[in-house]
Amino acid sequence: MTLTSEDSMERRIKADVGSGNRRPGGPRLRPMWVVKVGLVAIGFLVPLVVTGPYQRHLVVNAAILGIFGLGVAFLIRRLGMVSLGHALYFGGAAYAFGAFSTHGGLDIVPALLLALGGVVAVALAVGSLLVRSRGIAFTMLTLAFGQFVFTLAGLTQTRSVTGGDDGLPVRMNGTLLGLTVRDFSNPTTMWTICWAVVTVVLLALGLIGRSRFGKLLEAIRENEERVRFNGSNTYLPVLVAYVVSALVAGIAGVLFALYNSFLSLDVLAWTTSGNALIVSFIGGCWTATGPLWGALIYTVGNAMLVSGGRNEWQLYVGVAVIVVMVFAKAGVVGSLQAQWVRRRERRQPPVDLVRTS
Amino acid sequence: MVLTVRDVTVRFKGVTALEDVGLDLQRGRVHGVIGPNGAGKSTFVDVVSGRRRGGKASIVFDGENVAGRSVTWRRRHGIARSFQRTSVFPDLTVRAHFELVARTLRDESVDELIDALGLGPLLDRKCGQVSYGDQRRVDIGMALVGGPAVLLADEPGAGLSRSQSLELARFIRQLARERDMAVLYIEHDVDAVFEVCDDITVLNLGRVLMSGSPAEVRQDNGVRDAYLGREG
Ligand SMILES: Nc1ncnc2c1ncn2[C@@H]1O[C@H](COP(=O)(O)OP(=O)(O)OP(=O)(O)O)[C@@H](O)[C@H]1O
Ligand SMILES: [Mg+2]
Repeated sequence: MTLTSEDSMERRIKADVGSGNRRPGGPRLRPMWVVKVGLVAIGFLVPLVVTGPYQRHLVVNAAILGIFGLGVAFLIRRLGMVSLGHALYFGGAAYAFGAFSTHGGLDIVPALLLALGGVVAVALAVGSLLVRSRGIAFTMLTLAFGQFVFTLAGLTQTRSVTGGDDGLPVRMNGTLLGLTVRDFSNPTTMWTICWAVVTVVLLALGLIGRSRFGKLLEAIRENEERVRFNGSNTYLPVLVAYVVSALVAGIAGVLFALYNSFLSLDVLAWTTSGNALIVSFIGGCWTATGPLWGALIYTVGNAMLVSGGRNEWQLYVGVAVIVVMVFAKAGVVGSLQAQWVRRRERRQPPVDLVRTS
Repeated sequence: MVLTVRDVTVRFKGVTALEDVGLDLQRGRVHGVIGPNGAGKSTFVDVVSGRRRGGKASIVFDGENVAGRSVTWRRRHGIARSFQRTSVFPDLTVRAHFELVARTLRDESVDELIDALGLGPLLDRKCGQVSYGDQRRVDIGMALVGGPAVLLADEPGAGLSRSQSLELARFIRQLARERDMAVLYIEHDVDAVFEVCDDITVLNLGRVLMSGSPAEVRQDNGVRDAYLGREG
């Protein structure tokens, strides 16, 4: 015996139309992929268009902030969890890298790997406490943990490691892929590195999103209790997602340290976490690349508006966030995408409608 | 007896939702639970499925008291439930719903289940976009993945037409027979309950009013006064 429903007839028609629409043949290279590969290639050519050194400096900053934003947005997009404490991983990775290189005398590569390994370890430890909570409680706890570490880093007892309020000039030893400190402080070289990292991070996060694990996260976001009633543990997947997002933030932090070779405590401050959140929301956390565009808008806007010593930047940021939240909740990129889809649908009405009416 | 439940008592701030309620489930049989709104039926399912833990209840499943076990543990070991209010993932495709559970429970025969539920043509649609009746099927379907020993079906017919819900009731009974599964079946449509159930427990105001075969329950004066009479 099988069940049928009253709309099964209509359903069958739609199914037929659907299958008729699908082209036969094996897996093909989908046009979307061609576009994506093209965009990645074009990205490497940005320095050809952005020629001024200051402008190049800006796009590098935007890329680093954008990667940081990708990490924060990952948690929002996949789990609806908003962290206000990821400066812990951004700044933490930067400082760990700085300390391993400067005080430990390690080469760039081991220092970098140790810093990122440390991020994973700390994220596991902190996350195992945090991911039991959801919603505003989670956000407040991330803030508390972030501030705890920020305060710790500023204490006189930790001054010998962090440099305290004086900051930490990072002394780098050895090379990474044949590059030295001098190359890292060059915005053109750094752009290439950042863009490569952007590509890898986007690809990795995209693959995670499409994987079964990504589906599981989405299911947890939509109805966590039901996931448990399906026999899945929900604690571990959320913890893993938290660690992934922390790792991405940490990667951005290491890039920051490489590029600036100087660290000050504000990389750990909660306003740094806030910036990652702001760029995610401006660009849109529900799209893959939203945070990158958000970071570009934020960085360029900052540079344009904070010239001549005026510091009304936070005012503009506030207005921008309000405007986005009121008029484009999905963020700039998200809203443009939605509009594009809507326009396309208007041009060619869905097959279902044509056939069944 | 695959599942023996005893001494379930649940209180919400002064309101006694359940008082010393118990019942037995047997493989291959459908045990109906009826009772007016607020009788405590869903709360009982919450206790048996692990959503509500604590208290002195004893829930003996295959010889082991599982009262302290988590929802996840119980589901993995064969106590599944569906929900009175549809509980699906609106943004996931119907296929993804089944894949998620099938992978967790290592069930390789979900395709048959999907066919039996008539969900084949909907596999690639987002669950939020299929009809309400189909969402209910997905809800129940997820509970059936992995061939649970016990299915707790909390008003599977809620929101469906009478004929649809009767069809669903018969389908569930057939599954109980074919898969040798014990079913706890909650339903307001008394006719459907009398048709498909092998045993019936009547709850009223958190207490067991009576328990027995459909014929016994039908003839009971107390039940008629408290429940059946009013329902017509
Ligand atoms: N979370 C809760 N907090 C407080 N009271 C609750 C809660 N859940 C249920 N109750 C109360 O417990 C009693 C039993 O509720 P329950 O949902 O189990 O009834 P039911 O038999 O399933 O009813 P229905 O037929 O409407 O589904 C009701 O009086 C209800 O108001
Ligand atoms: Mg109920």
